[in-house]
Amino acid sequence: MPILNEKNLKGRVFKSRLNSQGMLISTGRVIVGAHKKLNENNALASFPLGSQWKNVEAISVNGKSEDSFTAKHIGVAEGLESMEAISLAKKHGLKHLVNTSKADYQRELNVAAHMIEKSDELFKYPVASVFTPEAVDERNEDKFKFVEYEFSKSTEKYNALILLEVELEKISSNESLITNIRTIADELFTNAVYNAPNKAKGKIDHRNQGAQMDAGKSAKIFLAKDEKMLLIGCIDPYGSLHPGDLITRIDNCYSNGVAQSMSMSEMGGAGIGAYMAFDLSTSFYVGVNPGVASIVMCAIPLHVSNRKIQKMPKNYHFLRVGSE
Amino acid sequence: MSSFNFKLVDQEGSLRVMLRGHIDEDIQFDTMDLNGASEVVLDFKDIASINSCGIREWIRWVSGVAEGAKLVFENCPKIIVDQINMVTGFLPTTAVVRSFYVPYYNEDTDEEKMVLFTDGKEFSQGSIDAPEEITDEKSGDVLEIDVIEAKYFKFINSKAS
Repeated sequence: MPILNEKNLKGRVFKSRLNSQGMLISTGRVIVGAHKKLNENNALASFPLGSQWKNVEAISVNGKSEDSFTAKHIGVAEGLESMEAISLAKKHGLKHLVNTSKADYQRELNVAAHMIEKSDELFKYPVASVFTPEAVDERNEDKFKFVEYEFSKSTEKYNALILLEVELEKISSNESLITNIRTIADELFTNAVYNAPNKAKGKIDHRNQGAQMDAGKSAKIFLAKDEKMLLIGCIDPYGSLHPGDLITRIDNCYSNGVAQSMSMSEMGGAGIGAYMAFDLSTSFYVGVNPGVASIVMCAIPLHVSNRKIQKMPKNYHFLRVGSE
Repeated sequence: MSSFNFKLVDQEGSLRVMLRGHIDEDIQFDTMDLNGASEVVLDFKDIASINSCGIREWIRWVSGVAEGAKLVFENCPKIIVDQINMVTGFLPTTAVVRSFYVPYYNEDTDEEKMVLFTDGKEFSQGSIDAPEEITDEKSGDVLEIDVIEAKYFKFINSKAS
């Protein structure tokens, strides 16, 4: 699949890349207790010993308020509200949360395990890491990804967002879905082009003065899907994102309100973009390899009402390479 | 490079501001001269998006405008209603919403329709009676209201208290 950029975008007829397999098979392969309905109680017992994941531990988190979690823990919950869910990350260090009330929880368990055990693959094949975590390779990366745009300047934002909208309109006429993806994409793009390079240098930007990455560096924003889920993601080459800061900002917005959490300074961002992206998505994936790359991805169900999506409990995954 | 623009239209007793495009980090409200109008109608019909930096710029600007004029929000798309409900101060306390869009959706056909609700018809300041379903005139399909009512209509219901 060609990577689009500022040079080859103009004059191009936007065509969505139809998946060569046609309708994709479900990626929700059962990895634990086949044909058995799991919840936060029996998922722990059913997480298979001797499976391909050796160094992870699934642990029930419903009702937990005191324990601290390590990077190898995958929290399993049933129907946890967003505010309570992110509080587990902020106050108790939980890095991965999977809600078993969602139909694709087996896949999310595998995503978490893969991020813990094979973190380098998340940055190489981010889409496959989410859609087929048991088989992360270039073939699956290309199977689900249908558009990708490479950028290095803030002035490229409108090109990138228009491209994403045009491609989205080919798969759904749901204006709310398209608007939500556009909102997330705007925040991901802005973070990559403004925050990433400046944080890497310990600087803060003047947000309305434009930005450009260092020579030779560029970020990519992409869309991927199967028949049930849409994934929007962005990877930058700086690795300056701090998952802990992200969690704190999201938690602040839920706990104190968005207006109270907003930075009104002339410098830097408003500090609520991560919350906006998190709140609009049903699964949130963050990976940071310090000094090398940062990736943020958000998943939203396809062909599901916005009302149902808003009621869905969330999954999240935060990875910082090298941390315990 | 901003993709936002506006048009000022003098109407009897008020100034209508037709807002268009994207409210983001590039927006510059200081180019908008409201000329001391006592009532300002902000028409959001052609607003396509707003991001976190745009919300911040909006809060900065609108709080100053509200000090000198009565503000009316019209034709608010869902993205604006979401901000009104999410961000205290996005709709100043003295401002009113005169019309806004409500999404209705059919999961089977993936069809969505935005229905305009107007003050005095579908709602009043402090109460709302939104139909759970509508029928699309062209397709005949039934579409269900696609918001969590308590959340989406919070800005209306809060006027009652």
